[in-house]
Amino acid sequence: MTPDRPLYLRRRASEFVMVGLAWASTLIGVAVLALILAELLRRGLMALHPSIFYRTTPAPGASGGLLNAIVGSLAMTFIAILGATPVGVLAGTWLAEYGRESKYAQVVRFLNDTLLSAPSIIIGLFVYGIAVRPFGHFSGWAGALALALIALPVIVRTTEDMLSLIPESLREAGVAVGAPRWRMIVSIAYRAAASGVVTGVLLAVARISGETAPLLFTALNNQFLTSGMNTPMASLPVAIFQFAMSPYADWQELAWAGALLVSVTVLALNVGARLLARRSTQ
Amino acid sequence: MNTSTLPVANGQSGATSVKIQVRNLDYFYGRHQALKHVNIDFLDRRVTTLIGPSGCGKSTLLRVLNRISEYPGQRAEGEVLLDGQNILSLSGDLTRLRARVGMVFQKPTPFPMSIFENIAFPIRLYRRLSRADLDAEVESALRRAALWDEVKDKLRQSGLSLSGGQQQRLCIARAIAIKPEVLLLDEPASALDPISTALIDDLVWELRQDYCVVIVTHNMQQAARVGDFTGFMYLGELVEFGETETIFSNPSEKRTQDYITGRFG
Amino acid sequence: MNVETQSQVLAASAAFAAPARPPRSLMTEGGFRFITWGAATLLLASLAGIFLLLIGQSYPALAKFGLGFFAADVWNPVTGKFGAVAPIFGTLVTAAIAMLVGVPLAFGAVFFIAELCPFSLRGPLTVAIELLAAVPSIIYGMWGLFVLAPFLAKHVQPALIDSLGSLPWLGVLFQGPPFGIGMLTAGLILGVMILPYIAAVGRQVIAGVPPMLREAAYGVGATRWEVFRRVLMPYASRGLLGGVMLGLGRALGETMAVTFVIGNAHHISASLFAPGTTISASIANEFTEAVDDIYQSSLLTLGLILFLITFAVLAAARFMLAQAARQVQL
Repeated sequence: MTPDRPLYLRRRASEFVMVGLAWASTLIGVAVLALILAELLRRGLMALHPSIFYRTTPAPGASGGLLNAIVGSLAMTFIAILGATPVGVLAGTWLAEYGRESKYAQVVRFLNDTLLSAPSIIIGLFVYGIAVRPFGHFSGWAGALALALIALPVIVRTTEDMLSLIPESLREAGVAVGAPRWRMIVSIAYRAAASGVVTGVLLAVARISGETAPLLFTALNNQFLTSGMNTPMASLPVAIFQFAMSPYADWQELAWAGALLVSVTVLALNVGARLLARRSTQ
Repeated sequence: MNTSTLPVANGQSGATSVKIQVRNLDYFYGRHQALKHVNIDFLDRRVTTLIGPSGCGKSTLLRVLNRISEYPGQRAEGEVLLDGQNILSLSGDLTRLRARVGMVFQKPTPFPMSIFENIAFPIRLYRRLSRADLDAEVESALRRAALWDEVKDKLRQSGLSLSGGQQQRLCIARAIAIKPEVLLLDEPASALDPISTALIDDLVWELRQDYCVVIVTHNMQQAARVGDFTGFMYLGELVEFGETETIFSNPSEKRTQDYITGRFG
Repeated sequence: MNVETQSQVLAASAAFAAPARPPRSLMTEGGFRFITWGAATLLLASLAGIFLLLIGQSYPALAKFGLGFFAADVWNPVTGKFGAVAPIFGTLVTAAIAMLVGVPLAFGAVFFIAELCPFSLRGPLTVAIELLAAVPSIIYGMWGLFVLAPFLAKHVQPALIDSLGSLPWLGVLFQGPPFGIGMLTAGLILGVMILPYIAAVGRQVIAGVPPMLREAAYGVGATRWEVFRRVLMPYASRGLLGGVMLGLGRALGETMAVTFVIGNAHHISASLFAPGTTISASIANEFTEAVDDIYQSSLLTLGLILFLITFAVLAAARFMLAQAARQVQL
């Protein structure tokens, strides 16, 4: 056929333009995100000082560290994961092993996926309503509960995904030696899916490590190192928010140091989860 | 044996000429050599079938002819001359090559658009036509692919709404709509029922009047029925090449004989 | 064989045929099943709990202000008068700016990764995008406050005000003092933030297009852009749209990235440079200060609105992604 020359040239031109735009948008995206990380690294490293790890957050006008915020974050994250993991694994188990394609399972799965990306501030409002207002005070427990509710759908989702990857023949072999189904699940399926479930827990930890909004009015904040979960509790993200919005330069520095700590933790957890997932699927 | 040229088949109607010459073609997937020094000619207005067991390189050879398989770690050495021009040395824009060398795949690949658009899309890439002319072109392509009567009342429906055999004929119609010079068919009937396969075979026989057709097939009956020439490939080599009748009735190589009598592959 | 041994053999074979009951365990099949069911139901209950609690707690505000709550541009804790127009407006405007910025960039990146980039770059870029999607939003907020806002105030906004501010109609969008913080900055930050989300989902669904379809599209002589735009994108349309909706849900509900740079001003302004507020930023900024009941209830009503909007968007996103996953494979 005789090609239409102007049409051909126009197609070449639009190809050229669109390819150029794709290059440009990728470069812009990568550049902006690199700028963000570079700024974080620069300001964070400048502000990072050993005293951050052994001094508590300062009073206005004073200097200090982030010790109580770090401890608070660790405590609330730990308790949240401790609570969310069994519930999440069991719920994931029901979806993968019992509920499967039943109507109810489909509803639960759908709502879990929706909860997965629901605005976390809503979770904060909910926990305020059930764990702060009735008791009349903010507390570390309420913060941990809010974080647990955010971690839960992540764990449910990965547990179900990992259990679904187990070949049906392995399940049948387990049942064929006379084990009841629950025994097969506990001693065979869980073992086969273990590293996948750990991946899910790591991702959940990463997810809640940077969460700020749900802590604002559950754990609130605390200028001091607290001994109990029953009092308002500081956390890294809330401390970062408070200090970054403050007018004092040294507080802003603390915020950058905290932001660097949080980001490094989150990224390291993600990389770790990724490596683990890769190893377990090989 | 590396047959390089062929006498123009006797007893065939119509004049012909060599359309594609493959010279000393080697093809590598990373370190694995998929084609070893292949020499073969494809004649214009003739059907050439390539047969051989899975992994023998027949699909690889086909895919080199319009350079559709260009993935990292793969490379071709040698020459593939289309009307005397080495297509392996083409750089930059391959779209014109692919417009000249059309291809139909193992499984039907209707584009995610209507039946009409499936045909009109490639036409519009090359020509600006009035609505009436475009309609006429689409109709003619569908007629040639023996699909028109079945789809003329549902041109606006999705290409995916057709049956497997119809989808494959839609893909053939799409390939010929841009009037290529060569038509490559990679096991076009492997996913189809016997009736659809017979339809495709008839269609290939029709297409032979205008195109240089190359078909890769697993199906020996199909090769015997539609091929003017047949090449038998084994482990990346072109073992034997000749007129289909000769290959099937009196092959000169033991491996060819073993394969066509079903002793392996 | 004497009788004694014979009976022993019989006893042994009987034991083989009917083994002793397995040791009793505390767990039974029904029990385990019930516990897992309970965990799944707990999940459902928490979602229902969120919904019910928000409805219950917003009742005082809704009872007092009625539907006027959704129409009033007033937010005055001193007089106890509240209306949701400003935060809803701010939420929609910032999300719209975010989509305007984020979606084209994300699709460009998906096109790049799928069809243009050298093979060796594909893996690292994919991992980078997925890691960036995990960066906590507070980081984006800080960057917006300390880097982007000053930069916009100094270099970009004055130029926009000078050039576009005097245009008829459109001009009002670009008027007023260049604060740096405001709707535009918040929208831009959100756009950058949702870029990796949309791109990650997009890359995944485009990678799921059957390779033969791609080859067929190249086979008719289409260019890379034509293959992407006319064949890959339509084929993956539901998944792509699902990804976009996921990004939209994120942009509507995001709190921290916005709270830093929005300025928290409860009034509507046509100018994109003006400070404003969003639903989530209002709640984050004011909830702990909201001591009297009607103030708190008004904020919870905002929460209910946000919950309903994002739930609808996210449910639509999941619905489309589920459909995409079920799509007929070639």
